[in-house]
Amino acid sequence: MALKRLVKVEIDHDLCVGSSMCTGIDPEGFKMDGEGHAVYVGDNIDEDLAEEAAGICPVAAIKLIYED
Amino acid sequence: MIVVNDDLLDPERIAEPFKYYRRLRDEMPIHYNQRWRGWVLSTYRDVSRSLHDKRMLADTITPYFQSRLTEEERRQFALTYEVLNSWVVFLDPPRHTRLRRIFSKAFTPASVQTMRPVVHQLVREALDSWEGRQEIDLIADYASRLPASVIATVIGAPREDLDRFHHWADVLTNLLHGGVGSDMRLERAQDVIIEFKAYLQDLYDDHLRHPHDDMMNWLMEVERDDEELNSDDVLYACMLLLNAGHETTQNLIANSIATLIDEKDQIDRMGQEPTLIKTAIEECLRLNGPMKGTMRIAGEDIEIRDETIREGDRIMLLMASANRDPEKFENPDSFRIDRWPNPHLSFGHGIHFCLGAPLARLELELTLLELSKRFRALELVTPALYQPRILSRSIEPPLRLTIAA
Repeated sequence: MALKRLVKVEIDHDLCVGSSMCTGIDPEGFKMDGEGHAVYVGDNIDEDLAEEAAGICPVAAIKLIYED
Repeated sequence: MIVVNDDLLDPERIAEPFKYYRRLRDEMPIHYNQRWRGWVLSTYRDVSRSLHDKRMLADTITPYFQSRLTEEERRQFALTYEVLNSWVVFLDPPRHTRLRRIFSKAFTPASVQTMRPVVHQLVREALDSWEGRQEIDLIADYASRLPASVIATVIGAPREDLDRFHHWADVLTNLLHGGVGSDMRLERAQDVIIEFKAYLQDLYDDHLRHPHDDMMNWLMEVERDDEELNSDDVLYACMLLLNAGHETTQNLIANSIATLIDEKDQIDRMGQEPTLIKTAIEECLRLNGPMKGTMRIAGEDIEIRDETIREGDRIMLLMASANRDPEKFENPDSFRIDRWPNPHLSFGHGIHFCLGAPLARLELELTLLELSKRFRALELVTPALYQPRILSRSIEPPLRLTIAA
């Protein structure tokens, strides 16, 4: 299976509850905004950490977008 | 500083707290309640921000043991403290951060979906006992049984022990919820903790000899790989799962069904569009969730609006009031089955967001699905009466329903 490159990390703010699981796992990539929502700020996506964060998010708010 | 002496257990405020909450939001969104001995916050903005505020601590257990008990009592109840002080719900960072990450893996939406067949089977079995009857008690005949059965099964306890789990869950709930309370209650809580711990230790030893594919085994594997964890951590985590998953889920199921029964037209829509079941669950959580509020302790002086909360003060965050704040929700008092987004705070927000939320949602979803398949109509025999509790919203058993297949 050819692995596709992760090109974008999106956070659904309607779902995000600010549990900070993602910022704990990948503090370079994820930050909390002033309203208690996570935002993705990483310049170079660390695929392993982003995938781990998406997997542990308690509300499945992190969407990973891979190249076509 | 606005100081009130309101009785939060006043029968009218227990039956229908939402009018009172509206007055709080409009007239005194932050105030000090002398009778409860703490601050009360009621708007969406304040409650939500406070749930994310690192200065508001969740460890309400340590101050209680330090300030309310004598040295002798502290020695006597050392085990109870040890257990409660290991529960992530009462921990603050940095201890919270490590433990929460470990347990989170067991309760992600994806891992909970793997429990779906097991939970569905338990839902079916519990509802089978209704067959041929015209009237049931939703609480005794269902809502108080399913959550403990689910947790016991997920942990890996044998079926024949389910009744013992129901017993421990009931006793722990009565003793621990709504504050630790009198010494007698502490004594009885400790007796149950000793008995339950001995049972779980046997189950743990049995798992050592015969590994199973269940959560106890998974926790044991985590323990083996983590120097800072020991077998007691695994046993105490299992106790937390039972205690946290029992009464709250019972209330979630009973409150939701009591709410839905009043919304007949909307339920008919749900029958035609089954996808509405998910938004219906969120709307039940928003309007009549199992917890009215949660408690925090100020870790330092905190300024909110024009008030200063002093270090060590107690704070009640009223999620049930925030959920009806018109600044956040359009027509906040009306039930809209397709309301989305629905950013209610019923499971909390921030680092203490309810670990069991995906499992609780799954239990309610499968309950509603099975009920809609099996019964044409459910009717309340008498209106739901709520128990005098400050933080939880809990229907007094029995909740009698007539059922028609």
